[in-house]
Amino acid sequence: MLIDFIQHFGSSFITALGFSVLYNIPRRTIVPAGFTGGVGWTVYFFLTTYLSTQGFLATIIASFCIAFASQIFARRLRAPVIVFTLPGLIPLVPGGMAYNMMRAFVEGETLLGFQFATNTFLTAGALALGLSINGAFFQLISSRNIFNRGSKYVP
Amino acid sequence: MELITSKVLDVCSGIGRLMLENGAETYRVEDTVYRVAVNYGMQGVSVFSVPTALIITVQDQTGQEYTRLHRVTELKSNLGIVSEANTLSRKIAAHELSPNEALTELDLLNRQEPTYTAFEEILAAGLICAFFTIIFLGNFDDLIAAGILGAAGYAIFLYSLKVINIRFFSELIASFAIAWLAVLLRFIGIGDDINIVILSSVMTLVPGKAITNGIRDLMASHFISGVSVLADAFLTAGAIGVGVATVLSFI
Repeated sequence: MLIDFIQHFGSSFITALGFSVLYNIPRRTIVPAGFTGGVGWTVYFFLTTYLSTQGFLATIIASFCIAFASQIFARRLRAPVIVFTLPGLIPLVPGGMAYNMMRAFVEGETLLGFQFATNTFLTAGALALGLSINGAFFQLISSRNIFNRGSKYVP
Repeated sequence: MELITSKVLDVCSGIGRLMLENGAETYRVEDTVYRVAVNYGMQGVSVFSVPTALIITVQDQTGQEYTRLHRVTELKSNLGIVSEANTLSRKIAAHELSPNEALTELDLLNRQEPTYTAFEEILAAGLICAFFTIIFLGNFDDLIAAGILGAAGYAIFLYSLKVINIRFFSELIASFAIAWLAVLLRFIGIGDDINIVILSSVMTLVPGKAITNGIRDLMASHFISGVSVLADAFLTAGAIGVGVATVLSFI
């Protein structure tokens, strides 16, 4: 069990680190970004494999954890949150599924394609939902003047 | 037009264009530009942005309205610059920079070189693809094959992007090459499950980020940019799917 966790944490750490290089984020933030990715995927892996949670719920929880870690790193290292969330989401993001969907459509297996399409959109929706929940949560606890929040320009 | 208003519009459109070009989400761009304009004392500011254009309207103190439109054609992912632009907007919000100083800093940012060399990027692509096999529950043989293929595929993608400059076509070529090389490596005896190997190797090209960002834009009620980002994601996924399926239908 422990060796599983080390393997999955390590590999998701490296993939997030690699993507942070591809996205050209500043050198001092690539290790925290990799760490964010490792945390997110490990939470997802633990929930789906050992607690057999539904994929949708597990994705929401994992993306919430990613966003939470990113907010903390962003405050510590004085960088925008997006620098940590984008590489951190990479192991969870449904890119592989989108590819599988298109491949199934091209190869003529329409039913399989629609199955992948549904999964892709559900996963992406879950990821976005987790991020928004975290954003709302942080606005709630961090804004000093609660009554002025209605005047903000952006959701 | 008064000089100061024109300078402020210069700063606003410069910072917005920089962020859009380097892959920030549209709502972040609109928010930043709005804050910059308000901090320089403009009234009635309204900003509209889609992934390919940016429109800003401001009123100066006399009530005269000015509009500026910026077309964005170049799209890359350089979050380092987004981060720097964010710092710059924070400095402006703290009233530390006059419009002229801000323009100088923007000019410096525009000329900034990418943080990482092409070699580092290709190495990173190889590592990503290698370790995605473990996430997709492959074995050690797959890991080596995907590492080689991922680095090669990304190098081909970068090179063809430089030559042709149409992203979908480059993705098609790269995924086509990856699939052929995967078949070849399997023939030599490297790589176990060809599906896992190919799936891991195309992970650097795949539009996962675009799909998630598209849904996030839709949720933040930025419908036009959300739909256009999703359409882009579908075209990319289609290009990769066609590239791989063409090869796999031969064998």
